[in-house]
Amino acid sequence: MKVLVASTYVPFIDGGGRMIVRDLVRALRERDHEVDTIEIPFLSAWDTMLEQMLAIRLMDVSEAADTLVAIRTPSYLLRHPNKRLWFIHHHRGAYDLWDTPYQDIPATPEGLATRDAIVAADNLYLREARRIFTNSQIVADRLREFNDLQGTVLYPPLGAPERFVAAPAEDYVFYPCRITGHKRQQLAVEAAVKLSTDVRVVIAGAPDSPEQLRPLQELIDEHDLQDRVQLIARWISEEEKAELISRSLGVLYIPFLEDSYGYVTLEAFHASKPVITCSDSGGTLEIIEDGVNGLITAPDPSSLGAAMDRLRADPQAAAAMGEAGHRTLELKDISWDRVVASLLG
Amino acid sequence: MKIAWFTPLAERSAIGEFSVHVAGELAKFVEVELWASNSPPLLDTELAVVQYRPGSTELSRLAQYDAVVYNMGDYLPFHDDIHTVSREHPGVVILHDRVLHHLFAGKWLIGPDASRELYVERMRAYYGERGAQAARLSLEGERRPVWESDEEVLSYPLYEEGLLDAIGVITHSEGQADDVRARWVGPVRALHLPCYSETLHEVDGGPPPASAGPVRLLTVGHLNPNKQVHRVVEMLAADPELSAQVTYTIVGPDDGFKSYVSDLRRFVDRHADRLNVEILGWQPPERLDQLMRQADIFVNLRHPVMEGSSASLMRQLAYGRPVLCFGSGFFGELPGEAVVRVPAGDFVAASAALRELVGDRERRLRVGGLARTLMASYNERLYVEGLLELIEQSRRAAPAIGFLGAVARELGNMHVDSQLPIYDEIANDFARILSI
Amino acid sequence: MKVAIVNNQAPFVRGGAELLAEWLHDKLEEYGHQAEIVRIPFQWNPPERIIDHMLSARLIRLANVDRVIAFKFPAYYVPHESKVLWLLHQFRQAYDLWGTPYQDIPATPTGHRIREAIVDADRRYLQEAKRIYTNSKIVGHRLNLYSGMESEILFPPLLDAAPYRCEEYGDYFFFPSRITAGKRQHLAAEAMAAVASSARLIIAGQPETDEDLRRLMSVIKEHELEDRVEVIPRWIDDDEKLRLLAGARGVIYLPFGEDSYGYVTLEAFHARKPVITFTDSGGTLELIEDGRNGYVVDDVHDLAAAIDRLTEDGSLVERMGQAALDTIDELEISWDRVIGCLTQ
Repeated sequence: MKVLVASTYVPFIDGGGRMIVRDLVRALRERDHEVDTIEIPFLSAWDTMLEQMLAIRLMDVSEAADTLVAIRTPSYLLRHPNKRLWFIHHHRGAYDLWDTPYQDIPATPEGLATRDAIVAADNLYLREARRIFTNSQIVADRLREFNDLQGTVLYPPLGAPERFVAAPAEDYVFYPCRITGHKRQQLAVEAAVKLSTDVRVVIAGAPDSPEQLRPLQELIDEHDLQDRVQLIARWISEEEKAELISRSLGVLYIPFLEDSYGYVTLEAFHASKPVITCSDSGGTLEIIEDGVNGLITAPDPSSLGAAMDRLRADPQAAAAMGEAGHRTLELKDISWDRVVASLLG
Repeated sequence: MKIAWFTPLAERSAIGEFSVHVAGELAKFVEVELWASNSPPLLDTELAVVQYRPGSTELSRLAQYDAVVYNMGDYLPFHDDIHTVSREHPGVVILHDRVLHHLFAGKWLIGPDASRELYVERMRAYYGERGAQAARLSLEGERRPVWESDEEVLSYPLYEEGLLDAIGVITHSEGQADDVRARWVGPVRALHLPCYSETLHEVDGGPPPASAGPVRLLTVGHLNPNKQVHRVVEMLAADPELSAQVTYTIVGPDDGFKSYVSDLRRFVDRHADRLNVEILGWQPPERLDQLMRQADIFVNLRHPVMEGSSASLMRQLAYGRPVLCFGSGFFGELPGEAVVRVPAGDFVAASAALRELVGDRERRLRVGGLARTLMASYNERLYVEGLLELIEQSRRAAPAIGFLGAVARELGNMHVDSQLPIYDEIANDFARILSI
Repeated sequence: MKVAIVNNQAPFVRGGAELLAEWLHDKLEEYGHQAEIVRIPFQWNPPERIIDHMLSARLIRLANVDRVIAFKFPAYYVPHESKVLWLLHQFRQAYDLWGTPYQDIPATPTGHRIREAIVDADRRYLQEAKRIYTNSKIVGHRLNLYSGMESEILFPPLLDAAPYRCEEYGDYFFFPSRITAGKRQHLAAEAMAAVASSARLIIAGQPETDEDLRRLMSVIKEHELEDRVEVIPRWIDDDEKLRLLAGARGVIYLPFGEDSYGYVTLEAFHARKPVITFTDSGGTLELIEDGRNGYVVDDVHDLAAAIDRLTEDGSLVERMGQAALDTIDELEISWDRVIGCLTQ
């Protein structure tokens, strides 16, 4: 079958949307489909969004393939008689993030009108899709709440899970993620102050900016945590990451209110490691069960510290939870076979 | 909310006067700064005044305002800069005149950047081949230039050019608002030009002093053919019976249309035996007030009407005197009982109406009283409330207008003919998400 | 510098422009830039769609990019304050192909409107580019003729010229290219019938259709050239191509009216081989100078004579081969220059 995978992106920024396109393309090709991508540069600045949306609407790819799978918003504006959606998020600043500090459209009459237009466009054009899948329950819930649309959850699997394997646990929990405010590495460092066992915390990832890194460094210095917290403040390769995960006690993934469960969670489960997350982390809660395949803690330093201590104090229990995490992947049927069959079905 | 208010502030500018009063009232509700580019002396105002030049760095500050208001009139020296800024920073336009032809013809045909092609091209863009032809023939001296004829400029008003980056438009008459709505996509609202409370306060609106003498007719304003004073004088000359009952005083600067004024004076002198007409020229304010106070009837037979509305009309009505006018333009929209209105250009009817008024003091007092009451209701507050509503509405419409403008600009640049289907495609498909 | 290479996209189709974009991408990164290829879909059927795509290109915002390098209509309309063009071609259907069977846009009132919009949009928006380079003289000439714009020529180099070599000037001429009527391999075969010397011809390439191959083979059969003309009717890989080039006496390349000079010519020059082409071959003439680094001939008869001359005079072949190699330097066909121009 000829399949077009469509998405939007910001040039030179490797967001989750691009990863999912790459992974899906590969999965489709592996299953002998002919695939090309339509990746459209898109700047989410509210005051030029309407024009950019029209730019997408005007592109005619309606006869180029049997099926079009649209991923990142608003690539679904492309016209195609057999359009499917794997919806990963709304323009959230116009929806659930409205009235939060992350609202990226001003609450002026101009901003309100723009938000209305974005919602109107979604309401109108999302409905052109023959099938709608979402990458998480939370996104499906939002589609229902805001657009009165039903989406089926289709969890994105890892692109290359084979490198994530289990190895004997050492003495650390590992938090691999881009260092930025809402991923809350700071909370992880604060928790390290409260630890009662000798568990260590390893944090690795490229900081979004030097400003994101400075408070972490200051906190470490202030509390003399140099031996407790290892900060690898740079981009680490997939191999390096897999290696650090496989030797960890467990993995930390504590973002604030994210949509998806995060690739980190899947990587940990593939490596049979439990995942510690917070009760306000969002998508992780869809697959992490407290005490079963990981730990869900309150988002405060003491609770988080206690969870880390618990893994260190009882490595057998930690390993058992890691095994359960691995089984979660099968139970939830998080696989490319399922993704491809669903999207093209 | 913070508003930047672009206006001429020269001492002799009626629009400047308007701005001082209306923006002054507006400042009771929101923060307002006046932006002016003319050199002092400026009109007195308690509002903050920002002096700018087109292209100056000051202007980048406009992005921080919630709304920008542009007072647009047809006088190049006052409005050239305002229009220039309006192209860079979208805002609400107050159209003070029905035509902006002289503004733009001046802008395009005079000065170092003059471009005859631009004038022709714009006339074509707005009025098709007919417009281009009129522009070309005017430039080549093959016909009376469009800009020299009131009737012609009304056919080619060119105000469209003043609205290119507008997000909302205010007019001072419903008729003009309808006209704009037919040619422009965004929110349009007609608001009565206010009678300033200061005017109402300083003008004595009581009945004129009782007098056994002739009935005093008065026409006020720049002496030009548009005021039809010559027709009034001819009308009186042709009707000795009426003429014997009245005096007719004409006040206002008379240095503009020299041959017109001298012809008029000659006519008056020639018929001195049966006419009681004085042409006084410009008079100081105190004397003018005295003359207006003493008048029984204002004769205000403008035709055609070029202005959006008229502060001097509001002032005449504030004196509580009947105003004899034609039914054209904003005159036609005043409540019928508060003025004496006859069909536009109909001097037979005007003559009959005048005769009736002259013979009926009671009616004069009744109509005048209603006029005065009407002016008390046309206040700045009412105007400002309407303006704020329109600003809100315009800001809601701004993204859609900006979007349509950007699309139209690109298609225009590419000379994409409006007969190609893309216009319909966008209108039928995408424009559905825009609620205009 | 963050460089976006902006190209058109016809989904599932890959051609020369896609290849060039990829090469340029790799080279930019090699020269220390960050590069990304931005592909903007273009559908020109029905012709009304052309206008949609033109407008679409104007409404795209390319943020987080320091330099845009655009190749083709209408992707080159994309607005950016630091845009340069490496123009491969304008929309030829509106220009030199208008009035030919390749016009595509119908000559209806609507078709005329579309064509005028293309012409006007080019005139207006191409001015936004900081500089315009073209990949051939003819493209620059057309740009000047139709849009009144100046440009500079920037020949695309080979991705990697290092493996091209000359081992000997053997007894065969080499004609590497897709086998198709437009490339006229059959005329090269026909010329062999008139060749007096012992020269042989090797034709290698994937036939576009069976008919193309049949036509060629029937010429060979008709003139009983089986011993002297060898046809390899399939894609040949790089190693095979390099080997055949290295041992050839010269290269024959006879496309009809091509825009670009064709990589064949450049490959031959890097392998120090003279190239014989036709006077109506188009872009090849921008590199080949008759009698210096090859021959530009009028017909099959002259082609045979050129083959004979090169076969009979060993020192002539060597001189012309060296001149061919020198031509590359003289015309500054190099990535140094390409990257320098496009990122300056």
